[in-house]
Amino acid sequence: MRASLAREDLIRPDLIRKDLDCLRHKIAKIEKRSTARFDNTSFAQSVKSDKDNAQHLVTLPKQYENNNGDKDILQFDDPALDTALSGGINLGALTELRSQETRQTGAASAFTWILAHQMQSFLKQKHNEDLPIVFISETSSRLEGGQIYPPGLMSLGINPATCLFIQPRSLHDALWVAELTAKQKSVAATILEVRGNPQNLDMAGTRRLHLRAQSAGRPFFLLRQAGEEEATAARLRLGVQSVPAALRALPSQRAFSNSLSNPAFQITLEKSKNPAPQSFILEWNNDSHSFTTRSKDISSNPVDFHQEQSPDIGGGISLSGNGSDQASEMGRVVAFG
Amino acid sequence: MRLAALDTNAQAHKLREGQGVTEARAICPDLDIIASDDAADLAFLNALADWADRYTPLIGLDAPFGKPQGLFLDITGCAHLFGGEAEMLKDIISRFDQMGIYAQGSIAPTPGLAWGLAREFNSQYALHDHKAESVIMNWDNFEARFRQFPMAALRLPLDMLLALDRVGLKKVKDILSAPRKPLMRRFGPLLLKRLDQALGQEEEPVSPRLPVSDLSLERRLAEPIGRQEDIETCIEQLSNALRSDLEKRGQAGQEFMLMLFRMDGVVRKIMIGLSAPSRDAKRIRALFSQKLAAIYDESDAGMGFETIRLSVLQAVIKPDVQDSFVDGRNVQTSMHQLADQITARLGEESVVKPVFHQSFIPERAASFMPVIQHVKHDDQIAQSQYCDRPIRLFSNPEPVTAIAEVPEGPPIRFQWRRSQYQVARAEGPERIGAEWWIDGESAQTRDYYRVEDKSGRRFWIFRQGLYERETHLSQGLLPKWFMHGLFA
Repeated sequence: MRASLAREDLIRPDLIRKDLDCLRHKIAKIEKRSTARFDNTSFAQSVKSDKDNAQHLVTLPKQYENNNGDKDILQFDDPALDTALSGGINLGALTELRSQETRQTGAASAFTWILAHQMQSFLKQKHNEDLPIVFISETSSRLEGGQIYPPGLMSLGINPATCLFIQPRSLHDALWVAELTAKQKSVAATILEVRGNPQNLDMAGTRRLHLRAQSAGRPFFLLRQAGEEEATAARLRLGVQSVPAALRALPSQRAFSNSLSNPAFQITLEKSKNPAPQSFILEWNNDSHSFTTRSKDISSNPVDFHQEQSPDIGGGISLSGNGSDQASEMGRVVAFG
Repeated sequence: MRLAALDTNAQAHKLREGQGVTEARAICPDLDIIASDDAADLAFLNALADWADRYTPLIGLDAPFGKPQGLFLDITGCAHLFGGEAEMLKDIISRFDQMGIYAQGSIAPTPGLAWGLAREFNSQYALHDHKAESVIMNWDNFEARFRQFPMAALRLPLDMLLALDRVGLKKVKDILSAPRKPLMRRFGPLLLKRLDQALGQEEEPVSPRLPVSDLSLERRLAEPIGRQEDIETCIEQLSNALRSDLEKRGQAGQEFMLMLFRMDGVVRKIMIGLSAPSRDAKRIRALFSQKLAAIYDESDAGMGFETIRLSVLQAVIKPDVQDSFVDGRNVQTSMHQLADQITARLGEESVVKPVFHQSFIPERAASFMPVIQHVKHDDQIAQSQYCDRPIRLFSNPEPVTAIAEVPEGPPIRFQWRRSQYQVARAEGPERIGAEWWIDGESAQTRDYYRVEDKSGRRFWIFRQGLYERETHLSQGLLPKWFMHGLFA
């Protein structure tokens, strides 16, 4: 009885995390990498310390620069994030993306699709090959989180005609397809969507997928819908959350309040070489097909449609009542007579 | 309850079809009565038709009075493969005999004549001993026998037979040279039609039960096989042989069917479809082996399969392309092969591609179609520009309870799946009118809003029904709110 209690004590996740962070910190010291440490892993704090963190991080170590030539690595063009990811997302590997809640599934699946799409266009540039993205979704994830909507992919800049959707009836079938496609070079990227933490996708199951992806040199994304953090063979696990979107810019370059523009994601590095989870906020730009890190606070002096009469509002044509030659304001005192 | 069918023994006791059971019991007290099961009879007849597919691909069900009772085999051009008509008929009858089925067969120049001939024995010879003599008729020797046919041999309904009987027309010779006009007037057109059909003066094609395949190749095995590997080897050999035929026609196969004829007469059919037409033997074999791995059970083989046939159900024209050694890509399995492989294992509805439709209703604007059908119907509707559609869509919009600041405005608070959400920002509405030509005139307009809650989650919410115009407060009908999708 006592022994079992002691064991339960041992596997408390927060204690493990602390130990793990200590170890990683030591390794980073040996490797002479600078690391940023956060004592608290909560979202708000990590976001706040994001900017300071970026300054602390050193530039890319040389080994990664050398690797870039022959290994396919997806970079975000943000030194802080790329360093934290040891150069970028390795494309010949299993990468896990997780959304904590079902209602966050939209953000997680969009981010995964964007990564897969980046790989697709990378291969097109490099080898001039039109390779498809294979999306495997398990039944329960489709029912709970909704179907992937092809027009929605198009509004993210992804052409759904170059994608193949597999909808197996059971998880067993889904894993069979996943292992089959993971080893294909004729596929740009494979996304396997599961709900929760199924038993078949434990260390052994994910390792099989990782090795296949590695030998094929194609990315394999495990998209976990409403799942817990779990030890898997994935080198990198990202937690994806949605954060308030960018505001639309008015012709005068001022932001317009109450508008929704580029989607934004908060990426938490849950499992990486870094000691503690770091968070980054990325915005996806549909038009330039690239990520940008959010630089300024989105609430910086936006134009409020309800309170301000601005020449911006009205689709480029200034309102008649708001021109350069306006009637002088009425006086405070109005004579009643 | 009435008698629906009789065996020869019962016929010898002078029982008749359509007789009441009580009456039949009175005539013959130890009568065995089995309830009739039309569905089972049809299934059995279909299984027999599958079995008979070894003789000719053109097999029709014989259903003169609605209910199938026999099989027509159009053996034009097939008989020589079995050593002539007599040998063929003997082979058919003896194989039926081995399976424990009493069958009567005949070969005649027209289906009508063959029908009558096969049944004529019923009344004349079969009563005495169960060995029916199989007869082959041709245009030289048919007349004498045909004249002696009873009227029933002309495939006529019972009431017409009774009417003919009443006026003394009992045999075919009675009407063969009789003036046609009075016969026509009295008995209607069917009698003369049947007569002409039997004589070949009116065409009567056998309508095939299944579509006849473009190409098909079979292998009869001296030693029956049952192991999966043996079947696969056979498939590869057959598809290699088919390949040259397809090449000559400049075609490639889109759908293939494998038929396995088991020793005891059971026929197994396996069909595969390809996402891109091909004539590559290795690929066809791989697909069948996927399918066999999923469904085949060696214990099912029983005594083994004696004949294996591979048919091309659908072929399309495909220009030849020179393979190159330089391009390393043909070593890799292509996308189509991958899709085929998955389809063969999981079924075609599991491997899908998106198709777009001309509709503004979001759930109708796009759907998924099996890759195999996608190839066939390649007429895609031009993809219209979509702006701001969610990445995930609920196929059934989920009801939410929402509170809006102004009736026609976006919600400020809503409850979805038992949690409360505070709306921080909202864009919209995007008004999508109902498709009255599909949903009827009472269908309601939707106002879509993109909303973002306080923690940054973005949803696609719509209000169904316009205030006052489509809903009436007095009737207690208010617009309803629904959650339709999740944005990135």
